[in-house]
Amino acid sequence: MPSAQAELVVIAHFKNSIVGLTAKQVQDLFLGRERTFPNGKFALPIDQSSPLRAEFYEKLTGRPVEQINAYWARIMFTGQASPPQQLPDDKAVLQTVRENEGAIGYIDKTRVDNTVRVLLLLN
Amino acid sequence: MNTVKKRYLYQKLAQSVFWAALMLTVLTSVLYFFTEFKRSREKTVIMINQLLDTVENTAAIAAYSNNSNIGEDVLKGLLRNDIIHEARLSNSQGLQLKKERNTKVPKQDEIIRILRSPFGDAEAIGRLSITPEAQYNLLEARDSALFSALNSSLLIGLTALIVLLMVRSSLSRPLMKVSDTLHAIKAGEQERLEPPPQNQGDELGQLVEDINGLLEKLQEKFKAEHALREEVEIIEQQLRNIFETTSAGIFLLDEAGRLLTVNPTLSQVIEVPHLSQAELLGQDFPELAFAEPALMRELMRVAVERNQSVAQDLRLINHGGENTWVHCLLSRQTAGLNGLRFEGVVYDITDRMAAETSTRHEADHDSLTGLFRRQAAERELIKLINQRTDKENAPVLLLLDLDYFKEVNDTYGHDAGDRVLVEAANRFKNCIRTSDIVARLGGDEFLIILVNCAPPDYSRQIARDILVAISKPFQLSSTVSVKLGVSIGMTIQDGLEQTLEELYKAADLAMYEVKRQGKNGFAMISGDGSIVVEKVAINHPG
Repeated sequence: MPSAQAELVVIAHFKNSIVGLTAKQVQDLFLGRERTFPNGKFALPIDQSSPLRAEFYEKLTGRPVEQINAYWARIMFTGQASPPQQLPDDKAVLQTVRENEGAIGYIDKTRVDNTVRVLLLLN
Repeated sequence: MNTVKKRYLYQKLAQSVFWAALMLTVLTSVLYFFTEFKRSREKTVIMINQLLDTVENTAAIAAYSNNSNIGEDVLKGLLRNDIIHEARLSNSQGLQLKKERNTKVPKQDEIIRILRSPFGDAEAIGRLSITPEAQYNLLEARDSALFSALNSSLLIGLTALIVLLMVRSSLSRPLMKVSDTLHAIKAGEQERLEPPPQNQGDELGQLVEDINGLLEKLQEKFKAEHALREEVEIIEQQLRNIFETTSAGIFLLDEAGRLLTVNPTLSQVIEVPHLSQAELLGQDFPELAFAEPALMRELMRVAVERNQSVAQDLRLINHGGENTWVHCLLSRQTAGLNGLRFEGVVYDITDRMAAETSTRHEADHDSLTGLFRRQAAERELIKLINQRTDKENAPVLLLLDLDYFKEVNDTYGHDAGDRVLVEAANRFKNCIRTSDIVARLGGDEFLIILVNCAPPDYSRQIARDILVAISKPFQLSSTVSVKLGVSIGMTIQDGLEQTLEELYKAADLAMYEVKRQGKNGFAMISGDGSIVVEKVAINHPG
């Protein structure tokens, strides 16, 4: 599959003052452990429902995506938290990131442009 | 016959077994409790670790996501297990959760599990710690110990019961039977024990055989002893007969001479028939019986000194009759252990003494006149001579010869002569003192010894008296009488050194001189050897 070989980038609003994030920081934001950026600003992680999602989590945590799903299922069962909002594709993610200053998402590296800030490269 | 309650061996055994079993049970139970407690603790730790394995993932998620709901769920789940007393969950982001059971028991060591991030680099993000429930362990251990106690007491009890029954049936019962039989057997009887059939050849069987052997020996001993006793009884009876019927008096004295044992004859022998056997006991024997108690005491002393039998003739106290003599045999008792004892025998020897006396009398005295014979007179004279210690008390020797006796004998016969001799002897005796000695030397020769008659005048007076007495007529029958005379030779033993022969010789010389000068007179050799014959004027009727 072409997507399996793809390189992913984690992106944020171009006005975001954060220069970069570590994989762990990204992981904490996407798995609901952290709700803010290191600078204290509120973070809104945006997930995808595309095949890119499995690749993203595998590259980020080293665990299969099913485990991530099970994790969220447990958290959701308590009603205390919910997983990040899922968008259909890179285009929708790009659009949302451009429009929200606290947003953080991931897309294929090939789709990235100057309208967003790249915080992390996953390969 | 034996009313004392019997204590059976197997009952004793049962008691011992019971107490031993009880102790053993308690001991094993306590031991079991502690080992079980330890085992339970270890088991609990393993189980808790397993539980931790089970919940670790979820707990890690709770810690990772800082989700107290999940954490609470985990802790609640853990607390549902009896083995957990307290569970705590904490993470690096400040989550602190704790659940505990409200039992009050000593705390045990916590079991801690470090929680690691479920994602990425397995970073330590929190910890889950559990305190095991000690109460659970205790209960577990107690139950186990109880079960063990029950189990072991049942087992031990059962074993003990079986052992008891075995002991009772195979040891106690047969032993009891043997014991009862043995109890009924009297020593020395023919009866024997019957060996129990099941115990042939074992210890009990051997015991019975040995007892039978002993009974056998006992019976033999009894028989032998019985025979011996009969023999002894016979001997004793014989000895008793001798003791009681003998004519000798038998006695036992203590150290001081008091009578301890007497035979019935003794009172007769020592001439106190009025005293019973019992009354004699305790009396002082020497004082009671003998005229000279000191002699008897001396005899006792000698018996001890020589340590052998001693004997002496002793005279009894004269109770108004004739003198009684007894022969007393005395020896120190050697068999007795309690102090000095004397055993002795006395028997009457009065008759023998009398016989002895008469024999001696016959030997010493002339059968016709009753005067001493020469030998006896000489014996007495020697005695007198030997007794002299000084010049006083000199004995005077008179040799007498009847004049004309031969003519009387020839004319009137021997009987007449004999009568003259007897009469002459009587007249001699009447002229002297009783202490003086008259002897017939043979034929018509006589000897007079004047004892203690130093003044010569005194002895001359006696000589004169004799001359006068003999000069009186001798009546041979109612119609016939004869006249005789006497020639007397005298000598005094005025020196101590004169022998019997010298005295005889001197007197003989004096008498010869009287005969030479016409008979019927007396003469005494004076110190210078001269002899003066004196005669007496006889002047009386008829």
